[in-house]
This record gives sequence, structure tokens and C-alpha cells, in this order.
Amino acid sequence: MQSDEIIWSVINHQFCSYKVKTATQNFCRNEYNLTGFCTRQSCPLANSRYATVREKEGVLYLYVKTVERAHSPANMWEKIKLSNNYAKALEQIDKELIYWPNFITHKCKQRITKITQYLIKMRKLSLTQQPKMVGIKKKLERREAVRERKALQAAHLEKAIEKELLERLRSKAYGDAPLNVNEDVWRQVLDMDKKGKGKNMEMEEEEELEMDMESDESEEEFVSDDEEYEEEYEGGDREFVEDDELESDFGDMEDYDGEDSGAEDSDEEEPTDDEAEEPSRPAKGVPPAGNKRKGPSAGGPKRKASKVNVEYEVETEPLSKEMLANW
Amino acid sequence: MAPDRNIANAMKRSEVFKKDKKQKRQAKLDRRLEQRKAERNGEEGAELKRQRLATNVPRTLDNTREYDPNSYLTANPESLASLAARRKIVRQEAPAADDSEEDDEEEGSEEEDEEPQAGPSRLQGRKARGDADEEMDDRFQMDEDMPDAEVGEDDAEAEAEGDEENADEQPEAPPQYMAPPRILLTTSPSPTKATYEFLAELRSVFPGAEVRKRLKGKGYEMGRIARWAAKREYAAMVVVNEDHKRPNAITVINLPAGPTAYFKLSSIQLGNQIAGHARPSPHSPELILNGFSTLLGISIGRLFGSMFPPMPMFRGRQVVTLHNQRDFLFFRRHRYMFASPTKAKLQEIGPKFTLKLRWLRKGLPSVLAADGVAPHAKNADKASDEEDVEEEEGKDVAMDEDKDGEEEEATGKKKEENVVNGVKIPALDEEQEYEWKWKPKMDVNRRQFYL
Repeated sequence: MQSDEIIWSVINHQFCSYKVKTATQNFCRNEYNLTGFCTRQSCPLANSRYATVREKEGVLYLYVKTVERAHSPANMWEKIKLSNNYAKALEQIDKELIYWPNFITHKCKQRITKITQYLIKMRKLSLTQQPKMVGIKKKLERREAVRERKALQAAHLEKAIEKELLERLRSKAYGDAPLNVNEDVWRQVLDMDKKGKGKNMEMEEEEELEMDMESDESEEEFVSDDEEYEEEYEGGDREFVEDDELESDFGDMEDYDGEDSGAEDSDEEEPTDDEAEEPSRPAKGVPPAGNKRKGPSAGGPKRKASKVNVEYEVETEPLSKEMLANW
Repeated sequence: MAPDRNIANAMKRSEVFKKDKKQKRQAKLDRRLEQRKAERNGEEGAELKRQRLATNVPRTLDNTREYDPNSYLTANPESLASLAARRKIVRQEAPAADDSEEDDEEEGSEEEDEEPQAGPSRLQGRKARGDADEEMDDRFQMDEDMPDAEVGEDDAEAEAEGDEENADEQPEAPPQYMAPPRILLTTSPSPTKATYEFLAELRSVFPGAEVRKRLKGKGYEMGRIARWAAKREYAAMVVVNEDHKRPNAITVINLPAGPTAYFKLSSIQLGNQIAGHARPSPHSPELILNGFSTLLGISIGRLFGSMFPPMPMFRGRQVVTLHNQRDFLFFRRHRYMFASPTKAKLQEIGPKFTLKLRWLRKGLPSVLAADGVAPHAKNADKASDEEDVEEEEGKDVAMDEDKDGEEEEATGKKKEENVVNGVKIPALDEEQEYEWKWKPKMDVNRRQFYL
């Protein structure tokens, strides 16, 4: 025997496995529930007279409870297929649930509306391409972040870029009159080239050594840096002269100021200068044995260079005064 | 070195321990000072130092790298090259009854085989630096030869040509500044501010880039947009994906026929977030592709290479770097200055970010519905597809300035049945296989890298 009141009192006051309690309201998880609320009216267990609308694979069915079959719950619900046509389905509900409480017919119709709406939306969505959702794996991400950090450290990016750029510069990849190089620097590059392809190998060794020194983090680094700055201003070859013949060198500099655009002329001049100076090098007592590097040009006056620099500065002071006077 | 437990007195024990330790440290210092002194001693010293550095090489992940032999894409390029060389020998030994034309063809194919060896130096990493000069010339020559920006397509042939020409003449041809390859930049649907900002930076990196707003809904799938762009002769398409309101991935599609590469995007820093950054100029930048060794890596490098004009404007002194280290691609942009023949100074322009390849796929992204069915039947595909595209164009009038001319072009093209520059655009629902796909288990072996 079905006795609704007893069932409801148990469900309401003791326990129901479908019930979900929240602060404001209780909900029902039973699939046959019309509204989803846990109330006396919409409880599918505590009502002998009950009907609901459900969707299975895109088809709507009206489920009507037959309380006489309560002893076999599998057969308790009568399943009536509803028409695909929304208006017809509503009519069907009216016909099937004639003389039923208004609450149930009304809620059934509301459910039909809602379900047809979501079916339409589903069909629409299935026609468009949806983004594929992928889970976030925290551990993987963390691991990759660490490896990325380490790879970045191992990359020595700036050094690698610098090396590649210099190689392009020296291999004449920028053409014969490159737009991205300072004229002086380009002249130096050309000089280095002219000094002989036989010495090229030594140059490379030199660079390697330089790199090593940088990585060694010793005093030598500073020395080499100094030298490089000198190179920036005076060019690798002229360095040798500055020891004694400062004036003549300045003459050179003035010449350069004069012929800014005449790069070719200076190119022609320079080698002769070099030839003139080369024999004088040993005479000036630059000890070849004292050189750490074997390199002929830039690497040559390594130890000397720093000392020379000091003298040079002392002697520039009066010159600058002269300059000032001229101005 | 542990404290000597036989000494019972704790004070004494620590005293002895400290003394020992000091002694050891001193001995080490002495040794190193002596070593340095010896190494300063002229040529012998240099020789000593060279020897020391030669023997004393630390083991790193990079110099103990392993290759994945499962695919020719990720296998050791040297082994591939030796394989190719062997094949070459076999071929030469075979009866030499062939015309000159055949000869040429053969050369071309060999070139292809040997790609890991003979590829441009920018893709080679540091190994094949022996004849770097030649390669450099080679590359520039090659770039000048290229009629189009699609370096990736017929690179091998061009290389062969470059080789032949290079043998007798230096690259004296005046640099030809041709229009940069057009690139379509867009986002995933409904992006946020961060993505737009990133996109703006990307826009400044690629000289031929256009940013287009991604519209939502049907008809604006990635595959459809890609085909739309392919018909308008874009060279590439870049889609920035967004998750949690932050750009998290990039899809790079080479047009008109693929491949498509998907990268994880991380550690983004825009230009204005970099201290002491320089301002970008509109000059097209140089490109440095460092450390790509396998065929997969080289093809990725080419994918990016094809997005920049073949002839950079050196006056701008801008250089874009894509450096591969342990499969992470570090993207940087600098302005440089040659301070001396041995020193270049760099100033970062930005943006900087890191990419990691997730997959590489042939062809363009396909347009499939959520349930895996193409929205159009194959027969109806062509017509309806094009209609859609036209609709699309109509919709985003705001973005199209030079559209009118293009539209005529497009209508002219219709008769040619989806062929651009002699390359057929894949059908809308054509889904092609992955050439390479990252799997989590690949991270287990730390020494194995794929690019």
C-alpha cells in the first residue's frame, strides 16, 4: 500500500537519499522530479499521482506514475512518446493529463519548453567547431618552467647573438659597403682581412682565447676589455705607434676627420702605413715573448697596452688645452 | 672530509677540523696561482692553458645530448648525412649512363639528403662552422635568388643553385628590397587586453604583419580563416591562443598549404617591461636562427625564416633571434652596434618570449564540427566554402581597406580551383597527420632533444 503522508514525513523529517540540503533550500536529485526542489508537491516518491517529462537521445517522453505497480518499481512509470512538434507535444500533455492537478500539467509543459530549447542549442553547437579543452597539469608546467630557466642560463643568449653577428660581419655577409657598421670599425675589419688570410687562423685562436678569458673571470678580462675600448677609438694597427710617435698619429686622426667620406683613400693609405711600421715594431721593444697571445694585431701589445694607455692620457691633457685655445 | 670522531673533545675536534679545511683551501689556491703563473708564460703557457681547457670540459646536457632515432625528423643529422653519403657512393658506383639533366636532378636530390650538413649556417648551431663563410654567402645569395618568401618550399633547389653560382662569383648583386611576406596575426575568440598588447608587439616584429580581429562563431574557425588568407596570398598566419586571460600558445601556419605548428608560449615580456629597452624601427630585421640541428628543428627554423623578408634592411641594425636550447625556443629582438671587429653591443627591443613546440602537422587546420563531422559534404565544399568566405569579407568591412582590388582578384582565382602560386590549398575537411607530436613521457629522458 502506498501511503504518501508517511513517506513524506520520513523524507522530510528523517532521511532521503535524493535530498541535497543547502542553507536556503533543499533540492532533490531524483531523476523523475519535476522541479528539482524537495517539496511535498514535487516529490516523486511521496505522490501517488505524478507525471514528468524527460528526454532520451533527443526524444521527449512523458512519464506517468501508475501507483498500482508500486510493488515493481521497474514497471511503475508509463512512458509516452511526445511529438517532435512543440505545439503538438503540449496538446498531448493536455490530453494525457486531463483532470490532473494544474501544478503538474503546468510544470510538465515548462519542462517541454526548456528541453526543446536546449536540444535546439545542442544541435546548433554541434555544427560549429568547439575548442578542445585540455587539462592543466601543474606538475608538468612546473617542471617545464624549471627546465626553461636552466636552458635560458645555458643558452648565453647575448653572447651567442654577438658571436653570430660578428661572424656575419667578418665573413662579409653584409656586403662590401655595409650600412650597419661604423666606418672606422669596417676599416678595421678590412685591415684584419688584408693582414693575410694565413693569419686568419691565428685570429680565430685569439678569439677563442678571449672567450676563455672572459669565462675565466680573472684580471685578464679587464685588460682585454681595456684593449677593446682602445680598438674602438684608435684601431688595432695604430696602437703600436702611439708609444712614441704620438704626434704623427694625431696627424693621422686629423686626416681622417678631414676625409670622412673618402674611405677608399684611407684604405689605400693604411696598408702603406702598416708596412712602414711593421719593421719598427721589434725595435720599439715590444717583447713578443711577453705576449700572451700569438695574434699579430690586436693581441700583440697586450701587456704594454694598459701602460701605454696611461701615458697617452697624460699627454692628451696639453693637447686638449691646445684644442681649447683653438676653439 | 668529516670531523675526526676519534677526538673526544668537541672544541679540539672543531679546531683540528678548521685547520685541516684551511690547509686544503690554501693548497688549492696555491695550485691555482701556480697554474695561472705557468699559463701566463708566453706560448708554452698558452699551450698549457689550451691543453687544460681541452681536457677539462664539463659535461652538460647540451654536449651529452641524445637524438631520438625513432623518426628521421629527429634523428641525429650526422648519421643521416652519413647515410646519404653512403647512398651517394652507391649511386656513383652504379653505371654512369646518364644525361647532364639527370645529373642535375641527382645533385638536387643529394642536396636534399644532406640538408643537415649543407643547410644554412643559421640553422646549423655551432657544429658545422668549418666553412661558415661560404655558407653565409650562400645563404644571402640564396635569399636574393628567391623570387618569393616561401623559403621553406623549394629551398633545396635554391641552395643548389646558390652553390653553383657561388663557386664563380661573389654576391655582388645589389640588395633588392621586395615587399615583405604578408602575415595575418589574429587571436583566439574573445581575447583580453594582455593578448592584444602581445599582438601589437608581434605586429612590430614582422614587417609584413597585419592584425585582424578574430570574430566569433561559425564561419570563423581557424581552418576557414587560414584558407581565406591563403587565397589572398598571405605567407603565414599566426594565431595567439589565450587561457586564463593570458596568451599561452601560438599556432603558426605556413600558407598556402601548411605545415601548421603549435607552440606553448611562456615568459612573455613586452618591450616596455624590459629595462633599458630600445624602440623598434620599421626596418625589416635580420634573423638569427641558432641551435637547430635535426630536420624537425630546421623545418621549424624555416617556418620562422619564411615570415621575414629575405633581404633585411641592415640600416635598421635590428636583429631577431630564435635560439633553440634544449627544445626551448628563445625569441629575442635586439638593436646592435659593432663597437669593434671583436665586439658588438646589444640593446634589447622586445618582446621576449619562449616557445616550445607541441606539435607539427602537415596541411592547414581542418574545419570539423564538434562531433568530428565536416560541416559540408565534400562535393558542396568548394562552392559553399567560397560563399562563406565572401560573407566573411562582407562582415569585417571595417578591417578591409584594400579589399576591393583583392576581391576582384579572388573572383578571378575562383576559376583556378583553390590553387595559389602553383600550390593547392587543402580542402576544408582535410585533416592531415602529425609529423611530430610532443608527449609527456618525452620529458623523462633529460638528454633527449628533438629540435
